[in-house]
Amino acid sequence: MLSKLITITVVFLISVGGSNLYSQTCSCAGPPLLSSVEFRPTPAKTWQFGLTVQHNSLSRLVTVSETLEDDARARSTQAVLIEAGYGINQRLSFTSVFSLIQKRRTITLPAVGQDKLLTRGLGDAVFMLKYNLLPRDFVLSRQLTVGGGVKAPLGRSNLRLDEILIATDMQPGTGSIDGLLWGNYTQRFHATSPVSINLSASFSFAGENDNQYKFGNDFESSAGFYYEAKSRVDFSAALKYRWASPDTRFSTSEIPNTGGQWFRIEGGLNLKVNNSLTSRFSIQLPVYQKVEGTQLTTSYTLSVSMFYARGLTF
Amino acid sequence: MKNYRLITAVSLIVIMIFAACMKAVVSERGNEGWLIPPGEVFEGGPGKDGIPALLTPPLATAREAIFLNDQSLVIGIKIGDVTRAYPHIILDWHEIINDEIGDELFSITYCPLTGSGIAWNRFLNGQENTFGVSGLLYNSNLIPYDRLTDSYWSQMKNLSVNGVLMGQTSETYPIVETTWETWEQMYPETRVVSTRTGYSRNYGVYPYGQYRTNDDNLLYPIANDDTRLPRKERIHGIIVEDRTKAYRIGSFSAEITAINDTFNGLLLVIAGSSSKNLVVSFKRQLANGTVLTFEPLQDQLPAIIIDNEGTSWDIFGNGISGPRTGENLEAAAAYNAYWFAWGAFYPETEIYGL
Repeated sequence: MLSKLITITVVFLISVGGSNLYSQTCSCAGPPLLSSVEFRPTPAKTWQFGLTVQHNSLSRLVTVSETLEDDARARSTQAVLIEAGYGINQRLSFTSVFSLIQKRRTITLPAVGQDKLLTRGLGDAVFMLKYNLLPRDFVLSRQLTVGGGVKAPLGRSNLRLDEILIATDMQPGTGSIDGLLWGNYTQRFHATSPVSINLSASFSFAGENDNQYKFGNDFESSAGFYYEAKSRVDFSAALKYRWASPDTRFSTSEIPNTGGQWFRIEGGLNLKVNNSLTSRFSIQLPVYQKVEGTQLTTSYTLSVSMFYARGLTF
Repeated sequence: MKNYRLITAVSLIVIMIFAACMKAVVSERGNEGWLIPPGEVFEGGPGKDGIPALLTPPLATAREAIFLNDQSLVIGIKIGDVTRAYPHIILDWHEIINDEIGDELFSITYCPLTGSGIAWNRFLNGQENTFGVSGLLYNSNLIPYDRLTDSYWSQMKNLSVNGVLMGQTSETYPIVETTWETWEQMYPETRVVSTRTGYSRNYGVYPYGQYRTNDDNLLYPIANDDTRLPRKERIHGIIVEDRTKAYRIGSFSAEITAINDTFNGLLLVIAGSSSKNLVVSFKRQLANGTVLTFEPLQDQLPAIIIDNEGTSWDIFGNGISGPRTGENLEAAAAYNAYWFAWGAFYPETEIYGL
């Protein structure tokens, strides 16, 4: 039953991925990989697989904290994230994430018409080693995990249109190797509580690509709760914070209108199909932002995921 | 069970291969062939018309222009008796203003990254046309496109570099760049482009941070980085056939200065003032062969220079008093720009005074 479900989903995604999907570009300077991946602790001797389809809409033009009335530009990113992880032992685990990225930019001017640009391809990948500083206990399900890894530039960052290099933030990949740090803490309020709190933080140190372009360093944090209902449906909610430094070129030149701070809220529904398989639907909405200069920023993000965890052997 | 696992694994591999083989750039423009190296053309980020050009925008009187301060830079044009000012604070956000005065159709093009302002005739090949911002840059400089033919033009080359009009040069209108205070004093009846453009923009804020004052800040690669002058120093550049010469605007004295110069066989007068952020240039030899020499005029703007015959000439080269009243001095092929951009487009340019 499980394998049939996975196969059907995968085949569905193949067909969907080949069509001209309406994608909505991420507001951040690069592909939305790090901000889209929710790393989780991996139990020992357990394989974890995840498949996420994310839809990121960017249509708000903001100057610092003020939203401007401007319907001319719309950008979007659609991402398919494929995650595989394995718990080596009670302390150590490994996670890898691969991505497929599609980006669309539409500019509409009255009496002029529309200009559209669509790019797609393999995106960057993340490889992370995680360590349980505090292995999960059975009373409060308390667990503290830290991780370190790299973002590998598997995606192309040199796509051209009519021989012209396409803008950096419309490329499927960043072209740079980034260093990543991550930490996560979770625990129940008390032994029998259906509510757990979850705190997480991550930091990426951006590298420079072959075009001498460096995306900004990125810090993300999340504070939320998870409610295990007696039914198969669980709920989660979190407040997320993101800070990004401005992008730079030639090591010294800050790119104007990049970087800033964002607060978002996320709500999620989790469906426990069985002991191994979980589906998740989540939505993120902006709460507040303070951006550098004037830039497009996220209107909303939708994610649909499937997670499978089992002590599989091939 | 094992078969389904195998199918699943194979499906995942197929996804990855499929993604790698997918057509990466779906959009097509069809503009192939460039007169400039396409490898040196960059997409700025906002996209085609992501920076919206204006078309016949609302105007304000000088008294209504409270959004400008005395030192705000404007690009001024004079056609007949009509004067109009185009503020940098609006051009920084729109880069192109398509406008008209009487029967004259023109586009004020201004690139905030290269500090270059040039007015183009937008009546092209017998048709009214408008220019838009393509979103592409060459040597950090604006590449407009015309909307009738979708041809791309290099602003600082005054030349179409791609498309059906490739190779066509742009016809320019004389413009003067100066402070709002100076322009308003010269032409108190002037109109100025209003901030009520119909777009929601923070016109009081420069959109590029420290860019215009930070000499280390370049956003895009340039073909030639000439370090003889600071990168962001504003210069008045003159083009005479295949040679160019730069005059440093900041090196002019606060009072009006007139330089009678000869460059590449052409007799020129260059007049300006650093305090008024103003430099203009004209040919000193008239069509009939008469050669004039000039002295500066103080406190008589728009009259800026007087020739050896006693004719006073204004900043647009119009004779306004004296024997040659009503005649015109031909403007030199010239415009202002940041030094780094001028040096990138015109390597080995001469620098006056160096």
